[in-house]
Amino acid sequence: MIFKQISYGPDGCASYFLGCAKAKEAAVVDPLASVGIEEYLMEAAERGLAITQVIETHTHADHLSCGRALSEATGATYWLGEAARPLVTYDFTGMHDGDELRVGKVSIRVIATPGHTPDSVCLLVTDQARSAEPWFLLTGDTLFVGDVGRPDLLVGDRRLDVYDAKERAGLLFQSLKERLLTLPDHVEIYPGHFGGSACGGVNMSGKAASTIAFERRFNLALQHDDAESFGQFVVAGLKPLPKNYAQIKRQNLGLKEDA
Amino acid sequence: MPALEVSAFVAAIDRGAIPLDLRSPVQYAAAHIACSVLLQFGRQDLGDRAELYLDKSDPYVLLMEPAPLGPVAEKLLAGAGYQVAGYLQGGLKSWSEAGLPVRTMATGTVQELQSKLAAGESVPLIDVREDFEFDWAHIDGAVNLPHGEIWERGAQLDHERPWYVICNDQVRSGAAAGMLERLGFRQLTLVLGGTAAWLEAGYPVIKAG
Repeated sequence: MIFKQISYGPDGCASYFLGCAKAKEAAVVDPLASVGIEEYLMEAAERGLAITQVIETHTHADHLSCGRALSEATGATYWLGEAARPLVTYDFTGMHDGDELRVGKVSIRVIATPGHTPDSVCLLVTDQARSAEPWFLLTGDTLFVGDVGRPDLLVGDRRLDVYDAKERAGLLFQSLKERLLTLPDHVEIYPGHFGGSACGGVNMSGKAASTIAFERRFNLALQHDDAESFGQFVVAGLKPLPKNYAQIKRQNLGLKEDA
Repeated sequence: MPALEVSAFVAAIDRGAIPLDLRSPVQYAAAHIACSVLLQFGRQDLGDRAELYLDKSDPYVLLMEPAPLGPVAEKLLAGAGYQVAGYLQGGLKSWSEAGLPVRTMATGTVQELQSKLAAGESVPLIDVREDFEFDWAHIDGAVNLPHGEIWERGAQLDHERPWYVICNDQVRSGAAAGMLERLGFRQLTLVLGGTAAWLEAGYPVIKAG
């Protein structure tokens, strides 16, 4: 399989390009407007691949997505967690927990992991050409290297009138403990942010990949055994809110087209 | 550095510009402009690979998809010293919608090729990899004509025969097949997956020395 992390340093954002050279298909996860659609199109074109899937792990609050533009340029299906349906103004194909997306021999299983946002998903990737065992997990803003997602970016989501930051922290705890830490030790983790990104807390590592086993053992937030102490720990370690986050989130939700 | 509408694109070809197709060999095989040269896009090495086949004294017009890569490809080739008159706005879709004809090229898998050979059929096969790759492993009966020598040596082959064209995947064989089509070959089959797929399937090869 083809797998490449495409990051934008100044924001500590990471996006992912996955492909199957045999099927000549590719998927792009969390494409970044700061990188630009041409970058992803070139990755595909120089390998003779067609981008057939564009996937968002959630609606982002810290950076602009170019997912819809990339989907329009390629004709790829645009995927977003079904929970985003009432939040956004544009159409998308909804992902549900347990859905499996295919890119040739590569399968992408959707794990619903609400917490950072209601629509957050993690994507468990298996290269069937190598093994039926999952190989790695794209964790979006749910789990980072050394840290976890922040539960307090509520813009837009308030239209659901469901969650507050504390409830979010509880959901995040449940998603992490029950859905992610139960995965096999060898599963690698590729997060949506690393280093100085404002989307996590102060413990986020500058290293851009890890494993389930390492994070289970050494991620400080994951050493808490109940949702309450987890929530207190996470909130205590938060960074300032991302710059312009409310405006960015509104734009990604389709509530405002121009920044 | 313009996006050319179909009429301007055709006019440039009429004035002698060579249509250069930068899409994948699979897209080219499905439908392409007659006598276009195929060179799969590459951001690092497009200019270097172009120099293997394309004369800088000729003018070119480009076909590239998706649309946002048209200007990117034009910039890369112009930067490598090529005269690029522009790229086709709207890609091959706009060409077809203008009622202009497209050509297709047959494709085949290594499995199809192997079953023909196993059945004793005579399958004329051109292997366009470099000679050292050919020596390392090639399909019995293949003729070695390296992709960089097609313009000079392609005419030595019988253009009436139904040639299969193979490389290690389909990038160089696609480029070679495009050049052979320009030289008048009309019954070409592009072998997708190439020698790598042949070896992966466990089919027999000849090794020199």
